Amino acid sequence: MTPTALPIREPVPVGRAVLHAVRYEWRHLAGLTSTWILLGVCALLSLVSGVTLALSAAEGAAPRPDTVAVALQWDAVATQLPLLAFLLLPLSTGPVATELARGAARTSWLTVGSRSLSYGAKLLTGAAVAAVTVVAGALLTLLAGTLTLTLTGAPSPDWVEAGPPFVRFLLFMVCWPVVCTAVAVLLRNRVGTALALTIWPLLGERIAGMVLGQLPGLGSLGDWLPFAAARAGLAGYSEPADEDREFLTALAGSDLPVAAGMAVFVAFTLVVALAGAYAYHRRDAM
Amino acid sequence: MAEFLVARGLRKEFGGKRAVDGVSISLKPGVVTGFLGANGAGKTTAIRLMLGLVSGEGEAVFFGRPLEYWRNPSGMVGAVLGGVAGHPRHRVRRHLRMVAAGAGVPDSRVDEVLEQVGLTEAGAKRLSELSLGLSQRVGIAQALLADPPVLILDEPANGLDPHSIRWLRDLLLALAREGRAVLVSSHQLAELEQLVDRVIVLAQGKVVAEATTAELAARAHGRVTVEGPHVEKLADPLRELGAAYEATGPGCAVVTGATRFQVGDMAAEHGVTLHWLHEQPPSLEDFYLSVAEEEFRIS
Repeated sequence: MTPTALPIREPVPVGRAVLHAVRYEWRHLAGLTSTWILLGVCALLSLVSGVTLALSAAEGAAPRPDTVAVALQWDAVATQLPLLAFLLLPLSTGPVATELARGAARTSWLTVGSRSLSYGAKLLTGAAVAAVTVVAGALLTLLAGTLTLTLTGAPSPDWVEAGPPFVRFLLFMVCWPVVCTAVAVLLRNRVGTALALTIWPLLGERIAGMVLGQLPGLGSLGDWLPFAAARAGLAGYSEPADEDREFLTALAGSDLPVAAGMAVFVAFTLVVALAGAYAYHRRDAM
Repeated sequence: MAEFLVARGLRKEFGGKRAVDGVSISLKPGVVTGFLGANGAGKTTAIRLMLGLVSGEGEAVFFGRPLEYWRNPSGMVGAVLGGVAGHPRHRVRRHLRMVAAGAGVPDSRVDEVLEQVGLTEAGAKRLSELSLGLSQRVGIAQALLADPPVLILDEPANGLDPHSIRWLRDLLLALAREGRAVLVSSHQLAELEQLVDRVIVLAQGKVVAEATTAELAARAHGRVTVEGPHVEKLADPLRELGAAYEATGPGCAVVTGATRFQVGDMAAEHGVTLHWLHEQPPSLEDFYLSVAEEEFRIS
């Protein structure tokens, strides 16, 4: 029997290859029950946040704009790292951990266009899931808050005033999965990544900031530590009184201006993402 | 005939030891190539180098271009490397749909390949629940999803029962006859013998032999079994002919280096009665053992 040569295919256009890679990564997440449980918890907490926001307002008054901003930011500054970040951490580290620890890298690399595409798709998918979760969560908070306020007969707040702090939170949360994915690639260990990304923002930076503060000429470097800078960027919902300003600076760990704080965190995200890309390219598949 | 895959000068070291040393391979359409070698010969590493899964020296081009150029590796090459690799909590059908999305093929293709590998019922199982044999089948289904022109299978018969091995052999032959280039590495030489058109033998990281099955048959003499009351009288004349005579029991011997026609003629010439004369053609195993003898001694 004479074999028939199969038709030679054309290279897939870049845009379509990216779309395929992102769909692959999304289906990786969507195929796990744990993903939907985590997203369900996020939705539930958003609803609760809306209700408590409405109930915490003074009787007959609308919630204050800074209270609304704090609620939409999942109380990121006071908690140092928002609960939403913890909830989304497994979704960002999971795909990489499965690939590098369980040998699934060969499936990814032999399915999507290239390692670059595979890594880029993980970052894009993680960022997109975070963005959708933040926006959907805010809408649920708004809905639950408005409904509760209506039921209690209180006026609604000016939601639009919370817009800028919410957009900064959205930016932070879009960067967060990028950082998580990149650190997971660098450490090649899911538990290690979770510990590093929990301990460093909560404790590591505080200690590093204190140590830097003791070194002559380096004291201001503590302000530029990435998560402290991010908190400074997330704060600034309103113009605080002088006595509050000092407390807020201590809480954030940095007194950088809002825009500078966010810029530092975005730059940190880019650097970590590039380091992760370098490491991802050098990994071998089991 | 154009080559679908050409790999040149593949090299890889692990801890200062050369695992793959200058391996060059080409795969042609419609041809099943067997990739033979003992454990540690470098087959798996060579395959992973070809697929770009591990870093090393050399290059592998698919249709004249590196795999990355096509931006659709699964549409170019289907690889089965020790069963399916994915998240253990994924169900088979969901895992394959994920791969289908990455490969840009419709979800309906998933059910087609599941049916093709006889796993329609197992689609709801989690990957962690699969036996080795089922995992191999899912790996094969995954490799076929995007209908690639090149198939590379590393020890695909591992974990398969005899019925499944026969099914796999028929499937691979059918896929090759459709015009695909197929590379199969295996230790199960008997199975490869009924499958491959061509063999490449790897020993200590190097290609030590490469031949088509037709060339093998022409190259080597078979083993002739002779039985008769006085077959020992043939020993000296056969040795003079350059053949090897080995008595294997009373009135029984094996001759190598001569055809059954030569042995029969010689028996007639010397008046030796024969009760049995049988020539076994050279097997793939004979060929493999002859070229990889040194490697076997070491391992």
